[in-house]
Amino acid sequence: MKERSLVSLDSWSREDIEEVLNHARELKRRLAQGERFSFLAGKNVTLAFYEPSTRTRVSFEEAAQLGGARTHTVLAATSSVAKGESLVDTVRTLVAAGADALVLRHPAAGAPALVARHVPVPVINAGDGAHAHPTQALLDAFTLWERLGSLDGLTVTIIGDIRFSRVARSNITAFTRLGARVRVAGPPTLLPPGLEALGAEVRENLEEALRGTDVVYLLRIQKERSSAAYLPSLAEYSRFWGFNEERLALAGPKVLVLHPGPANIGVEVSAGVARSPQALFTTQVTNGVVVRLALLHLLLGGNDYASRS
Amino acid sequence: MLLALKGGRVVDPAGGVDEVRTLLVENGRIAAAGRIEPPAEAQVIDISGKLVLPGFWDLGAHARRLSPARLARITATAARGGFTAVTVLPDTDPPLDSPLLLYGLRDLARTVTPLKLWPVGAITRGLGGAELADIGSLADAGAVAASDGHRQLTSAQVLYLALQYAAYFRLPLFLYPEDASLAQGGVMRESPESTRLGLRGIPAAAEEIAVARDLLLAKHSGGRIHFLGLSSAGSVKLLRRAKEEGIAASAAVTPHHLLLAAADMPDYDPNFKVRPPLGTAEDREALVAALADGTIEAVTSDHTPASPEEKEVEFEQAAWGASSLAILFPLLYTYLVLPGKIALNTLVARLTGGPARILGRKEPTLAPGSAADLTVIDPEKEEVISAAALPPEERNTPFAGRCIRGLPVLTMVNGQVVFERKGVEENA
Repeated sequence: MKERSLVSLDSWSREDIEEVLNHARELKRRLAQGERFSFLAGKNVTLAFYEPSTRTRVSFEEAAQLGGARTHTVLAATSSVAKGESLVDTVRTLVAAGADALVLRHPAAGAPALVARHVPVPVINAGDGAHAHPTQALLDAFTLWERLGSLDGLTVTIIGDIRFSRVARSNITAFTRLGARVRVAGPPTLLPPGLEALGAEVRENLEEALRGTDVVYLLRIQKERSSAAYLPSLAEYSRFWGFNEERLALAGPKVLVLHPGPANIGVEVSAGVARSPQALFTTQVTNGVVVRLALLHLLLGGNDYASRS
Repeated sequence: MLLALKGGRVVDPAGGVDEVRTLLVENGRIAAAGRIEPPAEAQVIDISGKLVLPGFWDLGAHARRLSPARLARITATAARGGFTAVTVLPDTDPPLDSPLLLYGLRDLARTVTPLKLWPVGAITRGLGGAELADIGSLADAGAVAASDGHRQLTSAQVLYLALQYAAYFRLPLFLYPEDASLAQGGVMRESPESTRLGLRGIPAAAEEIAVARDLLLAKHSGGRIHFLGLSSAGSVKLLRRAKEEGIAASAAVTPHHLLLAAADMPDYDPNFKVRPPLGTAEDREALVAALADGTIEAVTSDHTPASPEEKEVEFEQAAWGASSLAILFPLLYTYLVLPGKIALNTLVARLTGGPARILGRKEPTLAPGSAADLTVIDPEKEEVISAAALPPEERNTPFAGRCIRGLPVLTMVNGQVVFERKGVEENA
């Protein structure tokens, strides 16, 4: 692995991504056989979360501990942030206290890039503003890759709030790097300019976007979008862009449905679709742990699988 | 004392001069100029191969703080950049909204700098956008214009009245055109780059709407407006049409908007966070063309010092602005004049006569009888801009690492040398 940190997937090649996927598959297989690891033994993985998160935080903690690392989780509300300490000073303190890697979740786009410039340890972006959520993209890519063998030639349609979604940006990058075509669809107010430059095809019409797609990727719709005039109402969103049984049928019986969670049932996805066998929401969460474990191993540990006895 | 500047190429657009001539300086004024032999008693400075230009005027520096140290630093930097006059915008802490502050600033300026330091007074009390400041008294106390800086006058009514009122005192209003609702929360121009970086974008419409509104208010009020910085080709078009119609409006452009586009920003580099935000390459080209043809009459520094602590934070929280007074001329000389995009004579006019006309003053010249406010430029000397070599609060430049030529080597105000770069030969 050339990269030392994971701020975004922009600088990652297809080979870099495949290295993580292959490694995650191997770790998943060994875990299933009851193998336990110690390749992160003695390492301190510190999570600095400046934004509430349950699934990403728990997933990283579980991954680090499966590898044998110690973890510390710093939540912004309980840290010195409240005392006005700058982000750079806070992360320097965490490194001085022994962090061998920093996992950062932050509401400001670019915060992990800033941190990576100022600390000598690997920085893993666990989501920054509307910029990137690269480990989510890796686990989503892994979920499809594991299921279908390859993303080459696949068509993935991402639906929803593209404007404010870090998940959309990272997934467009990851999916296209792995050979998939990515379409995006959603309310025009939530489709920012320049999506084509990221590698996506913009489809104004949802029904047209769904035709011939292999994968539907649904984004969470934040309630506050309707108070800020981006959307008239969640009900209207649901009517025109919500993914329901009717639209599932339009996409065809083989389509797979992904969602980064937590899903707003009845807004971007209907209860029926969420419960359908095509929906891989739970698999995504399970895979999140092994993908993050693989990443931590590649960034922090050696190449051995030294098992804990 | 009699001083002779000998052998330099004098480029003086207001005087219609572009030739090698000797300038004699006595009692703070240009005593004589031409192909003359310096008298024996004169101290001769040989500046063969150098350019001699009227001292530059900057109409848009942000002091941010009103401390003696800050004013001393800004004026010293201005002198280093070839400027002999600097205006200070009122968006300081505290804001320049009372005549007493202006008197205080004037007295303070006398103790810290020989440069001309001209304050701009506030349009509204406390820059609050609601009640007019004492604009007449501020003019009396030395304000050369009125402005609320980057604080937007969201009320068209207030701006309309301010224009009418300030016109009586012959003060132009200095405005940053930006529609507050479209710009809210934005940190860069809305563009493919803002999308990729996940940063909140400000559409070009935010500026163009405000330009159109302000031009119409100037037209209907009879007041005079000056835009402190334009960033979009659409704004240039609106301004050009307004000028053809005879509306009393002018505009300036900054070196960053002339040389950079949003796409040039290395990811999240806070030194590229300027206001108005950088536009597209087409915007940049339109601004250069407008500067060349005179639609935009002045270059302005938009000099905004910021400490590393104010910049090395999350991009959306980082302080706006770039420091540029010291490197403005060399940058534009290197990247606009040398490649032939704009004539040297034109660039000098946009830094001297242009600002003077905006203030309704006589254009600075190097003709005999004029104040000896001038700068000497070395057109050959090359330097790489190094942020580390700058004072901490002026390291916020997007041009670090760029190679520049045309560095000022000597700056004079009223015949007094206020800056001198090592390497100029001096013969007694």
